[in-house]
Amino acid sequence: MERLFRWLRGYINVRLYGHQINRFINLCSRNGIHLWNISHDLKHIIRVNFHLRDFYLLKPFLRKTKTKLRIMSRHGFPFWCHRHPYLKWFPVLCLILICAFFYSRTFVWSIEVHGNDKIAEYELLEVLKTQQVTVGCKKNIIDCATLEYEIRNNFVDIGWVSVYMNQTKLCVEVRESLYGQQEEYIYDGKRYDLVANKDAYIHTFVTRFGTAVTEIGTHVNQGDLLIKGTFDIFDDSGTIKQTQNVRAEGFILGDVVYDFSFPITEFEIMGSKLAGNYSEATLYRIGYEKLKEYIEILEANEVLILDKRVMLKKNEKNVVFYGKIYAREQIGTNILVEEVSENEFK
Amino acid sequence: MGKRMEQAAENIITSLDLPQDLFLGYPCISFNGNREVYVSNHRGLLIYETEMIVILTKPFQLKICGRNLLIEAYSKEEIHIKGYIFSVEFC
Repeated sequence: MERLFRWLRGYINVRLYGHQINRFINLCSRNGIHLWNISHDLKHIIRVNFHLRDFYLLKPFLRKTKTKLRIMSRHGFPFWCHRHPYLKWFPVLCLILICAFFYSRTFVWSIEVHGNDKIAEYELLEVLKTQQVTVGCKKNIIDCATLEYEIRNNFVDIGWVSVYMNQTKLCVEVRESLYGQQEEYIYDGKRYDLVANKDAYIHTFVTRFGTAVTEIGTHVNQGDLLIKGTFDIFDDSGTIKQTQNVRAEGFILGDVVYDFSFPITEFEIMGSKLAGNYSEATLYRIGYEKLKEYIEILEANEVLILDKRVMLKKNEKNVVFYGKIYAREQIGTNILVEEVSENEFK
Repeated sequence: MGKRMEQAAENIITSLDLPQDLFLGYPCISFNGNREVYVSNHRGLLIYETEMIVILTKPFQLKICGRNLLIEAYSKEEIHIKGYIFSVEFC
């Protein structure tokens, strides 16, 4: 650390000649001038390091002790700046960038939703928006407990929700309840079967009440029995002792095929043809503000933009974006399609 | 101050358990093996050569003999000497 401070302040390595060098060194130390790396070169010749600031105070002591001085080398930031004047503001720029980086960490730059299946992501984001939580908002206004409460209140199908901050990312994890909101009913003791209301290929089958008739991988037709509304009780010999009526319940999912057809009428297809002119440019952005986006003016109908986020750290999305823009000139062509019948189309 | 007064002052300071380096101006000398020596509370440098360094303190002169002696840092309060130290004499 001391070396760093010395470098920042700047120091000079000098050679001292004379018969009263010891006196000169004592005078310097008495007057608060710090010296280091004092080494003996030859008789009456000593090499020593001074701070740049102290160097200008040496003149009276040199005159008093009749010591001569020769600068051997210069080190440190002031000399470095002198050698590279255009880099003078580089450390200041670094400092500003570091400050900007830490300031940017006080904002939310990404919201991620996990575990949603039935509930769309934008619906959850809308709920967050009502609490002024959007991408780019301050982290300190976010109260995760309130957000969890709001989400639970807005969606009855959510069984569990967790909202937490992961650096600059807001994570929303939800677990949707499997059966949703169940209607309360009074069971009257009769038998209720569960039947298929559509032709389907079963891929998920969970029985809650009743006896399963079909299984996963079977194809069922409309009206086929899926879960029987009875529950058999067996005795020790394996024969049915009693049959109890229940209200069949289960969670069954299947693939249903819908046939549909549409008439094809006369319409136009807008075709495109790539021409030879091609241009590319680099895009820089901070946040959502474009800093630079320059591309040669082409008669381009379509511009393909590929931008990429800079990832400095895992789980941390930054505000600086860069990417490339490609543009290719396209010439539009109109293709007339004649009317075709449904059979011809098939 | 005469020798009697000095002795009296030393006796008082010793009996009161006061730090002698502060009240009597004794130097504090600390070694790191035979490679480094720190001398604080000094009065100046008398001789500096690669084989010998003589430091002036209030009660005596400190003569450090060795090889490749280098003054790593020199300030009003402390001298930091590096090198192969063979002997230290109080003259």
